[in-house]
Amino acid sequence: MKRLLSGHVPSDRLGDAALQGGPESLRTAERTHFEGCEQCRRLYAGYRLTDRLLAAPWRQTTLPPAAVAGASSRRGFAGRLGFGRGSVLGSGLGSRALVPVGLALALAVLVGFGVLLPRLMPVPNPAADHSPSAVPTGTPSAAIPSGISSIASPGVSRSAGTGAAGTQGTAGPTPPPATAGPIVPIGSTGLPGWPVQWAPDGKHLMVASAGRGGRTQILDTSGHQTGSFSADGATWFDSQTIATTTAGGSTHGPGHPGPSGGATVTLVNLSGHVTATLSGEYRRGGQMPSSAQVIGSGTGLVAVSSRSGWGLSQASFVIWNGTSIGPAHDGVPLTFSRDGGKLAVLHPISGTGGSTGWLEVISANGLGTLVSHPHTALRLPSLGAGPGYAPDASFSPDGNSLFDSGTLVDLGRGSAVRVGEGGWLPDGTLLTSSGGSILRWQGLRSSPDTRFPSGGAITTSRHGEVLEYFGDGRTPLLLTPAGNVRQFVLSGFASIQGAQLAPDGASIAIAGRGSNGSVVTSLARLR
Amino acid sequence: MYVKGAAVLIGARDRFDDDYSKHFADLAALCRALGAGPGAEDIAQESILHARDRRDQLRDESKAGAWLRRIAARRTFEYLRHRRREESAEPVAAFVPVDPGIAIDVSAAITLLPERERMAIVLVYGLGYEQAEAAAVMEVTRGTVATLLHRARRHLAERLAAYAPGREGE
Repeated sequence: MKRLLSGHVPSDRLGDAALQGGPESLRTAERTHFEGCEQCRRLYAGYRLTDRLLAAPWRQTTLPPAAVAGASSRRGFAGRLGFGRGSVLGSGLGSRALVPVGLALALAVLVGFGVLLPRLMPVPNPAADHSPSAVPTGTPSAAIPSGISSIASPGVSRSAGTGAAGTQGTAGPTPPPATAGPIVPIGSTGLPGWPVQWAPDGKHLMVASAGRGGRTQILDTSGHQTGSFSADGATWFDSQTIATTTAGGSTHGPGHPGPSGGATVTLVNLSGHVTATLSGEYRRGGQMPSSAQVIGSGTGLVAVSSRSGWGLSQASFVIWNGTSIGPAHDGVPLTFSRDGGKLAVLHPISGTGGSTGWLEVISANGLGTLVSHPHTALRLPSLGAGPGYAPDASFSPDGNSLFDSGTLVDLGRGSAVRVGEGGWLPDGTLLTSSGGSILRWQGLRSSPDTRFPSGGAITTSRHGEVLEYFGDGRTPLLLTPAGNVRQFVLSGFASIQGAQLAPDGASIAIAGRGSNGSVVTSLARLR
Repeated sequence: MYVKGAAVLIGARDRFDDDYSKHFADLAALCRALGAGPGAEDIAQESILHARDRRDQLRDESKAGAWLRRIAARRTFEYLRHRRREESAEPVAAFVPVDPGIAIDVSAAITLLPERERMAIVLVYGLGYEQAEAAAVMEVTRGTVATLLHRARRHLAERLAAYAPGREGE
């Protein structure tokens, strides 16, 4: 047996294993060492946790000072930005940078004037004063989009107004309170997993555990467990059925590991019992993949993707309807349209390390191309994020736009704009937040939604409810389909880190910090 | 009195605002991700105004987005340099991945990365930039961004190994 040169499995090899087939993908000597080495197993687990972390939604949030003490005690963030030729900010500059430094200093002076002059000579702000004389010469108010003029108003962007709800920038009077129904903790059973995935009808949800191989609960909206299963990935096949996948060689899956160590894909009912198993080879080329990813339509279809090698370079998938599978198609499935008729697919772009792909929308029935935009570049979903992970992607209600990991794509034109986190309203408006104002997107144009204070995150239901919640202890705000804004009082939470409305808007799953600092995951009824 | 030159100027500014305003949300998100906090939107707007005054310096309109981002990034860094935070017991605002199933200390590990690695991670994973786009903002090559991302993942894994369950691999 070949010995390891360094005494441990190389870090990069562990990183590859975490992304690809797990420890099974290590070479024999590496695997033997790995089994007996706590240090290597911990580093591997660190890679898994890193990939899960990087796949999570990014938010502007508050961190306890102790958590960032190491960062703040170092030199300032800006002061050490020495990258780039001619960077005006680098401080650790070597002799080679002396000439650029001279230019940079001159630039800095010019830029400084650019910064200071507008401050010394205030420019009339059209948002602060709507009289015609307040509009800068040559800039008709109609030419300034509301996304700029309103946001630039000190009253909106600079937390000048402390709303009666204790919120920043809230316009108007204090919203009346709306108390949640009974709040049922679902994290106290030892399974405080996240994210949750709601069934398409909003009557059930599954809650995945954080660790690999952990059990996933199936709950009804009262918080009662109807079943559970163990798998590496899961998705709603329809409102009564979940599609699961388990990596080859695992012994914890709901079905039996496939032949040759291939991944197993099963359908389970709300009790967690297996009702169907995908058999046969579902990878182009005839070799069973050791791992797979499942994307459900919610209407009785599941796209089963498989991968081989680093960066999804040979990704392909098939669509299974529970009884038969279609032909293999290249690419990584992203999300189905609400009616299950369309499927968004990303094709990895070579040279990007598997991080981005171009967009194609295909017919879920015949796999024919409906829309193809080879010039788009969207972020590929992570396949190493572990159970419970689902790509943050969705079609608009009419199927003409796609929201993917913070990017909004007009499928007709193929143009895209980054919009932050958000969700769709029934009329096709996309509401988003990236830590500042809440924006309403109609097409690729945005305007601030002044009903909501800035700084929160958004979750929406297909029914039309919107909840804005905050990580800093502010009271969440609920917008009802009738257009009324209410303070949504949730007892037991010091702060909220994640929330997901059920598609029917009748329930919500919430995760946050309790008053004692512990993570609390709960269910609440809205009506 | 009709002044032809003024009309041309107004028309040019109309077009500029129409073309550049679509970048506003992107710029505000960038500034916020880089740490500008509540000042992000103001910096984004100042960047657009700054660019409008200097648009004759842009030779290739197709690169307007990258140009604006560089301006916004530089202005954010200047803002941060002026606002350099003293040691404080107050909670710190940061742009990090948040997974309620993962301790906030783990998310905070992002803030402990070396600046260049953190920058690359924030741009590519946090804001969804392509590596080439991140490279344009950072004024480095795409290969450098790829290297920084690789190092950042390794550094995060090493740091988070202390948090992860030890028998994960089994």
